[in-house]
Amino acid sequence: MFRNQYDNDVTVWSPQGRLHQIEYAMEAVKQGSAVVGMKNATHAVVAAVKRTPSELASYQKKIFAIDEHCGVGIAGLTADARNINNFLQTECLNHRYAFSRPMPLNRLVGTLGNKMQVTTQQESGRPYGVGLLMIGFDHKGPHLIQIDPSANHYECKGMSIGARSQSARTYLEKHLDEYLGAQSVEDLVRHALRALRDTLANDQELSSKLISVAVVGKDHPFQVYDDEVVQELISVVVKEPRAAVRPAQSGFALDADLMEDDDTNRPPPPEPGVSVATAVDQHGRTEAGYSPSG
Amino acid sequence: MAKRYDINSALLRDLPLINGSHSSAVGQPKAHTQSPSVSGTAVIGVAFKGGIVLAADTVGSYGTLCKLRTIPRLLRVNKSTVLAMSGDYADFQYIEQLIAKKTMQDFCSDDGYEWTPKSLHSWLTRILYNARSKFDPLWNSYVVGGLEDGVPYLGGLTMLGISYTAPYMATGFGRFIAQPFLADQLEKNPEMDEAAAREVAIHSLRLLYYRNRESSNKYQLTVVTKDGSVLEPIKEFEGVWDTALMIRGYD
Repeated sequence: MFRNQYDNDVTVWSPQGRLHQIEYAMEAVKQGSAVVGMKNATHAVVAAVKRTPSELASYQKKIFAIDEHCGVGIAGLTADARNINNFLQTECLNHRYAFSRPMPLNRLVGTLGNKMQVTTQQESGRPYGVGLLMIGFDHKGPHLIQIDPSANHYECKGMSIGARSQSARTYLEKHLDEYLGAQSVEDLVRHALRALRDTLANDQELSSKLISVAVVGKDHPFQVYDDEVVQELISVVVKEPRAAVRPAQSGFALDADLMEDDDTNRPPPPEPGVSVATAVDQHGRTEAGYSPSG
Repeated sequence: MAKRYDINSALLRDLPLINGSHSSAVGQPKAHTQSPSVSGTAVIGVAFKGGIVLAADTVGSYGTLCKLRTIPRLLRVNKSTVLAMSGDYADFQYIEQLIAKKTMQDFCSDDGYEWTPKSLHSWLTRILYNARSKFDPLWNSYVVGGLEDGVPYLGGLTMLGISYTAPYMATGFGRFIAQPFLADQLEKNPEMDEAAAREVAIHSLRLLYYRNRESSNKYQLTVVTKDGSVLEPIKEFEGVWDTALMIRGYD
């Protein structure tokens, strides 16, 4: 059950000077599907790959609106994200109630950081298993902020988290000046889609079902784009040739059955009690007790 | 002592009375300021093209006694925001402390986020409404003024947490004496410049000086324009009492 004797508890150091539980939480973010965020002088955009457990089910929500002026894209445990989202919404609402104006992003993230930090230091409970890319617009302009389960938060120009996000970061580093100087929101979103495409498996292609896009900026309240708008933006990008095929990914540090499937060969259903608990209810239906679907 | 907070509510009626005022016994609402002692009278606010001016005299009245003749009732919050108060002076000092504390927190955040007239108006509304909801109101009316994104902002606020905005403001007795005059002046000259607005504000104080026993000819102005806010030194105007002889019963 435990990988070593130093990961029973978040507060216990390993002799190497590491806190294993927090590192595992950081790994949980990598299990989630990729999210990309970037900004230019006036706007910030976040785009995410959605997942579905089956053809018959809907896609898991990846982007959450917090207030008129900000929202988050998430990678990791959706349940944890909803809890954090609820907190952020409440903070923003309280600020608006008191001061009749939107909460500055740095203060919002500050309160969230304080909340998340506590979970990395008390022995009961666990750290949050979700990473966030928050976009927003306030008196200082557009923002993109990455927030980790370790409660670190970073202001970014472009960033990506989640499964295979390194490919997207490579794109973001290479095209930094292009999207920072992007003249239109459409250009910005297209850069996000290109970055996101690089995280997809070779047999996958961008589609409005698979992709979720949201934008916020000057005189532009936070808005999750409708499928039709996304499809139109995608239609330009899919015609462009894809980036060179990536080398095969080596395994993550976590159990194989928790891993993102890299190819079309889904592994057989995992054994009960390992990581996906299968529960049978009174009507004989089965449901997955735990699945990192975010 | 007269009961100042006198509404026909069973809740309040049933409170035990100690020394003529409502008690703050265990289990009962607090009642610190239900009989204000030192208070300031009317304040005036006028918005003009490109800014606002607030005006107030400097009297602290103890009942009908002119106990304190030179106390400032205007507060400069920052370069875009000023505040004028009428009502209980102690409650104003409490609010001053709250504002100073919040201003210090903003300063320490060092993120360029600070009071604007709108945010201060909103926040004070919450403070006053919250206090009155505990049946322990802060016995003040406020006028918040300044520039909100470069646009003149003038907000009024009562001790019950009722807030509103208007191009001119008068509190207390000024609502009866100065408000009609201000309405008239702004109708005749809707595009007032700073000089005209100052004149109108000072004349409002003059009208009050002649009619309001709690006011005086010692006054202070604060002006907010795009160049910043200025809390001006205390000045005096001369009363002209020639017409007093024409009032029947004056002598």
